[in-house]
Amino acid sequence: MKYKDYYQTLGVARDASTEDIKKAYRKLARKYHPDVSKDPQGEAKFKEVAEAYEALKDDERRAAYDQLGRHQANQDFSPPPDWAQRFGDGASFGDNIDLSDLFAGLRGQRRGRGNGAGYAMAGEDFEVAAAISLEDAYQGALLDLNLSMPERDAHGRLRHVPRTFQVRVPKGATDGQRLRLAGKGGKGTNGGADGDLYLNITLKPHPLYRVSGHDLYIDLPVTPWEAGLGATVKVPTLGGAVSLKLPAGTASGQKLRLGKRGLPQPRGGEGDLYAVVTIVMPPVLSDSEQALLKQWAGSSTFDPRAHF
Amino acid sequence: MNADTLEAVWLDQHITVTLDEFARLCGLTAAELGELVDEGVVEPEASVPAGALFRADSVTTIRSITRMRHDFELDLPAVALIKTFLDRINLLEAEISAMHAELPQWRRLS
Repeated sequence: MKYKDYYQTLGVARDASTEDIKKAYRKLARKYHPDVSKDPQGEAKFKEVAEAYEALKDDERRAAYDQLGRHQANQDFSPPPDWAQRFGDGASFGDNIDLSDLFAGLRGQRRGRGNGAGYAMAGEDFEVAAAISLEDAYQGALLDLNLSMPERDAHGRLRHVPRTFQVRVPKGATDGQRLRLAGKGGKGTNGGADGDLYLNITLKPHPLYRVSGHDLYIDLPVTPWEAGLGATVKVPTLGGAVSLKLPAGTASGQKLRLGKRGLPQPRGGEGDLYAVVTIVMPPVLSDSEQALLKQWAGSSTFDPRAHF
Repeated sequence: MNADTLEAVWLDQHITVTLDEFARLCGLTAAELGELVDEGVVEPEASVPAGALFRADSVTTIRSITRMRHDFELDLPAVALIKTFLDRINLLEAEISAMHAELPQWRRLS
């Protein structure tokens, strides 16, 4: 098993007071807590900090940790031979566990003490983020999830077990949508219910569309003459290209609504697709184009800055 | 791969659940949830003769503040305050993201 230096994780001395350990934990928790921090690494960092605090905040558990001796972080080590008898339930540990499982075992044992061996415990709930493409949200998708979950085997030994799920994400998911997979979290023990697995759906950025709820926005570049004279242009949608009639005299920034061409909604109906018009000049003007523009300038009395 | 295909269940504003089910979804006991209701942290969407009904989409927020309550060792009034701010942040983030979606992305055209 790899050693973790919990004191180092919290940035405190080995003889720090419980109060100092608590202060150090709170400060780091505010920085990394996944419900507070936007740092993508925040959750992993918070787990380390919380694991260290969980082991050190309680005198009994801190003593158990200190008895493991001092090792370099990540160094392989084994608990002293009598350690499991003194602090744990005496059960041997599976090979595939880490220090946090060892301490989770202690907690389970402490809770169970007053309730006899048959204490039923519900399995842990897990929340995982799942990023899907807009196309998947539009059509529905099958997601393959590969997770590593702590589980107890028939002998009560903790180990990490790889679990693979294929999940059908129904069409109509949008950013921030939550899905629940009942009973697919951690296994309950002694007849306790299995935990649930929660999927937090996010949409991957799309090169063409931007998402607002179930509505989609696409930039529609048009030439000055298409905007001025009107035109029929092809607009890509998630369900295939459609023809859009651009009215004569369309201005830049104008939004043209393509009804029901957005994302489907879970309970029927669809969002809309908005084409946001952007008038684009040719990057280089030919001599004849310049001549035409000069002719236009000479014959027009239009002043867009008349209100200045 | 021989994994079964699982059907996911929506947690959205169209689904309401009973107090017991809501508590289970939030990972709370009915008593712990009752405490949050008394403090006004979460309000039932409707009442039927069998009891109160809660909106399934608030499960995520309640789970989030429950984690914070535990991890920061917060008392109930602090939890209620955080819920107020969290709701406001969610609303503002949704508005900002809607505004971003509506704005043309000039850079992409250059």
